[in-house]
Amino acid sequence: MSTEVEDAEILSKFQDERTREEAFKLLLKKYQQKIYWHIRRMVIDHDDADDLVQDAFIKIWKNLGGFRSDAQLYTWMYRIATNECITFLNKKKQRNNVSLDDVAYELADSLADSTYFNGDQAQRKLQEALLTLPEKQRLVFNMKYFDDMKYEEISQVVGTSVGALKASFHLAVKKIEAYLLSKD
Amino acid sequence: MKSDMENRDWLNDYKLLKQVNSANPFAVPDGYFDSLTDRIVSFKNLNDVTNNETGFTVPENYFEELSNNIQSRIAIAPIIGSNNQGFDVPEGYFEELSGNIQSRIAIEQVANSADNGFDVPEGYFDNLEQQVKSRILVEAALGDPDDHFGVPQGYFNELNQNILNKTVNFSKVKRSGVIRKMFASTAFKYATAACFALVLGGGILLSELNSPANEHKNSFLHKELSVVPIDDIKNYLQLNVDAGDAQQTVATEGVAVDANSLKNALQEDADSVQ
Repeated sequence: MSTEVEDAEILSKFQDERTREEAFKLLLKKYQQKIYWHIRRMVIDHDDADDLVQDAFIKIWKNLGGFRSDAQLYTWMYRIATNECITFLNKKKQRNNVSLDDVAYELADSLADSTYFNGDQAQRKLQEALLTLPEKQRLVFNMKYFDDMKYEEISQVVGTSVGALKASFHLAVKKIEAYLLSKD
Repeated sequence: MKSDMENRDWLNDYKLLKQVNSANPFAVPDGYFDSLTDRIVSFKNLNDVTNNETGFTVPENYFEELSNNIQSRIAIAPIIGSNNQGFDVPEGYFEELSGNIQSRIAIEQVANSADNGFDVPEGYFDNLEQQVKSRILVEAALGDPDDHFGVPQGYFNELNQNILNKTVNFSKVKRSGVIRKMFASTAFKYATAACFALVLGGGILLSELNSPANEHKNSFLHKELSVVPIDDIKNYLQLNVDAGDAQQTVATEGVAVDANSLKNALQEDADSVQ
C-alpha cells in the first residue's frame, strides 16, 4: 500500500479539471482488482463481473466529485460496487421470474461450468455453501473472510450496524460449517 | 486493514472452515487486469459522450416545478380517475378486439407478403436498370414525339366540344347538309345564265300568248262577232239588254249604261281584231 498513490492525492487531482483523467486512472490502477474480486465473488461469472466492474467505475467517475472525505474512499467504492451487484441479482431474479433459491442454483451452475475457477474441492464446497446464504450474509462473509475488512468498514459498505453485522456474520459461518459437514 | 488481520483468530472457533484455503479460488483470463484500466477509461469516455451530448433539454425551471405538477396530478387523479376515465367503447368492443386484430394481422401478412401476389419474369429486376437506360437513350435519340406531328391551330380547343357534339349532344346538334358549289367553272356560269334567260323569255312569251285578251281574240265568239257589223251589235244590245245581263264589263252596277262608252269600247275591240 505504501507504494501506491494515497487516496488524498487522487482526490486532489480529481478536483482539478486538468488532472481529473489522470486521477481516475490512478484510482483504477489502485482499486480495480479489489472492486473486481468483490463483484466476482457475488456474481460468480467472470463476464457478469466484467460488465459490473465497468458500470461501477462509471458511477464512481460520475460521483467522485461529490465524495465526502469523512468516509474512506475504498469503502465508498465498495458500496457502489455492492449496490451494482445487488441490482444485478435482483434483475436476474425478475428477468427469470425465479426465487432467491433458484438464483443461487443458477450461480452454482455457473460456478460448476466456469473455466475461471482454480480452487480445490474444499474451496468449491465453500463457494457452494456461500451460495446457500442470503445475499447480505454472503456479502458480509466475503468482505470479512476474503478481504479481511473490519466490521466498521463493512458497516460503511452495507449500511448496517456493527452489532447486527457481527450477528449476521456468525450466523453465516455456522450455516457454512453445517453445509460443509453435511457434504463431507 | 492490517489490524483487522488479527481478527482472523475467529477462524479458530470454526475448525472446518479453517481447513479451507482462504486464497482467492477464482481466476481471470490472461492479461485481463493489464487491459482493464484502458477498457474502463474507454467505456467511461464513451459514456461521457453518450450522456453529455444527447441534445435533449428541458424548459427553464422544469425540475423546480415538476414536484408541484406531480402533486397536482396526484390530487386531480382521484377526481377524474373513474373506471372508464371518461372514455367509452362500443358494446362488445373488447370481446371482438382480439378477433379483429388477428384478422387484420392475417390480411396485412397476405398484403405484405414478399411477392404481394404479383410475379415478374425471371431476371426481370436484373435487367430492369439496363432496359430503362436503353429506353432513355432511344427516346433521347428520337427526340420529343411532339416534334414529328402537328395539329391545326386551335384543334385541341375545339376537340372537346366536337367530341361532345358527336356523342352526348348528337341529337341536339342540327346536322348541316353537304354544300356543293354549282358554279364551279366560268363556262358553267354562262350556260346557266343563258338557260335562265331562255326560260325567262319562254315564260314571258307563253304568258303573252295565254293572256285573256289573246285568248279572247282567238276565241270562237270573237271570230263570229268580228264579222258582225258594229251597228248591228249596237242595235242588238240596245234592244235586248236588261237588268239581268252582265253589264259589269262596260258599266258600273246601279249606273245607267253610257251609250257612248259602249260604242267606243266595241269600236276598240273591233279595231283590235282587225
